[in-house]
Amino acid sequence: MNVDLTELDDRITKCQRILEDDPSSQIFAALAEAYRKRKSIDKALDVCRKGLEVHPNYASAYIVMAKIFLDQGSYEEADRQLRKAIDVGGRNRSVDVLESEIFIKLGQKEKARNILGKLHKADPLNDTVKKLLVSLDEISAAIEPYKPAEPLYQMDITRPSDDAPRRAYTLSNALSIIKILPRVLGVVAVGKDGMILEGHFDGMLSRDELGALASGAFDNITTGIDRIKFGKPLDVLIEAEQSKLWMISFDKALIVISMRDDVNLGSLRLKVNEIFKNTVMG
Amino acid sequence: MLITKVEKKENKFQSALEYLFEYHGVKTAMIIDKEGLVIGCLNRDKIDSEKFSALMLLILDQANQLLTRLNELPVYSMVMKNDNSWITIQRVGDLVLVVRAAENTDELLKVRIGQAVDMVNNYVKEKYPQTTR
Repeated sequence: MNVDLTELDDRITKCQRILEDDPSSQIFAALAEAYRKRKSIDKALDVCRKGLEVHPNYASAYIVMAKIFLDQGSYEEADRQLRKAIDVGGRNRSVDVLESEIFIKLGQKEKARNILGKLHKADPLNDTVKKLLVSLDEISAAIEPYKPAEPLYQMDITRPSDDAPRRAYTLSNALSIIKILPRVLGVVAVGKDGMILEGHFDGMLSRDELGALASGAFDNITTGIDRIKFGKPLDVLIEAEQSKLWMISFDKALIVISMRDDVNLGSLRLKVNEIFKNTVMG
Repeated sequence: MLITKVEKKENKFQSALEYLFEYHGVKTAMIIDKEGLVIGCLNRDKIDSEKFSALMLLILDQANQLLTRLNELPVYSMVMKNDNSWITIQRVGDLVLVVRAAENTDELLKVRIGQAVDMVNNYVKEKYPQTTR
């Protein structure tokens, strides 16, 4: 945290120096953004407004303005500033992400979902987009009446109280949530036919390789263990020196989770059980 | 067969297995070597210990192959669960400790498994210091 603030202060000093040397420089947008990140909202707004008087067609400055108003909770004004940015500079990926954030805040979740869906399709590994999709689902679940979903697998965990909000996740959402849990390296869903349904993995293998290898190992373990009348394993946890691999068998898929060795397994198990208790396969 | 107090004290493998076996819910406790030879086994069910040990090593081998592809070191521990029981396979140096327990066995068994691993490790170090140097 201290390092970040120091870096921001350093950036502010450099931008100020450039702006003093050349008051017509477009560096004002970067200075305003640094002030915004430093939580100096009034200064950010002041610098950006003055700069826009000199450069009324500078799209990046309108994006900074939109972010400032978003931080302030003035979502309509944030939306207006973003429209100006699009008018003068057109669309790009960061504009789309910011627009979806503003739509979420304005409660226009279908518009947000539409944009985020396209962004996710184009770049499935983008964490910012995944987090926004997750937050969108959480908002939707909190607002919309809960439709009971058939659980994939009944886990032995404490049930939430009846009045606690419940959420129905798609497989894709469930995996996205698991992927961003602390110390999770990857998560892959493999269908019973061996096809990779969905997943994310940042390791040296691709998600397809991880899924194929893990499901192959799981099948061999199942075959072997059946010979001692153990029955089909539902859950296999493999611990090595640097990582852990957890395979959970459901009716329709095998879920493979790769984790760092220092993961809090108890906490992760509770979260994963809770997520999959309310997950329906799409 | 009766085991005298002195014999029992000297056989620390047996002590480790008994320490596990006395825990509520444990059905099988077994120590095997890396070739599948059963060094010690306590069992409540009619399980063929030779067959069981061979299968446990096969499963361990499957998991090791997977970890090799992930550029990982060999399995340290493995837990398999189903509706009515769970099996823990724990590597202890060149030996393997296997514990089979009923599903309702509480999670504190893991602590006991850790203690049994220490008992086996210490005994191996004491008895065969040249192999553990």
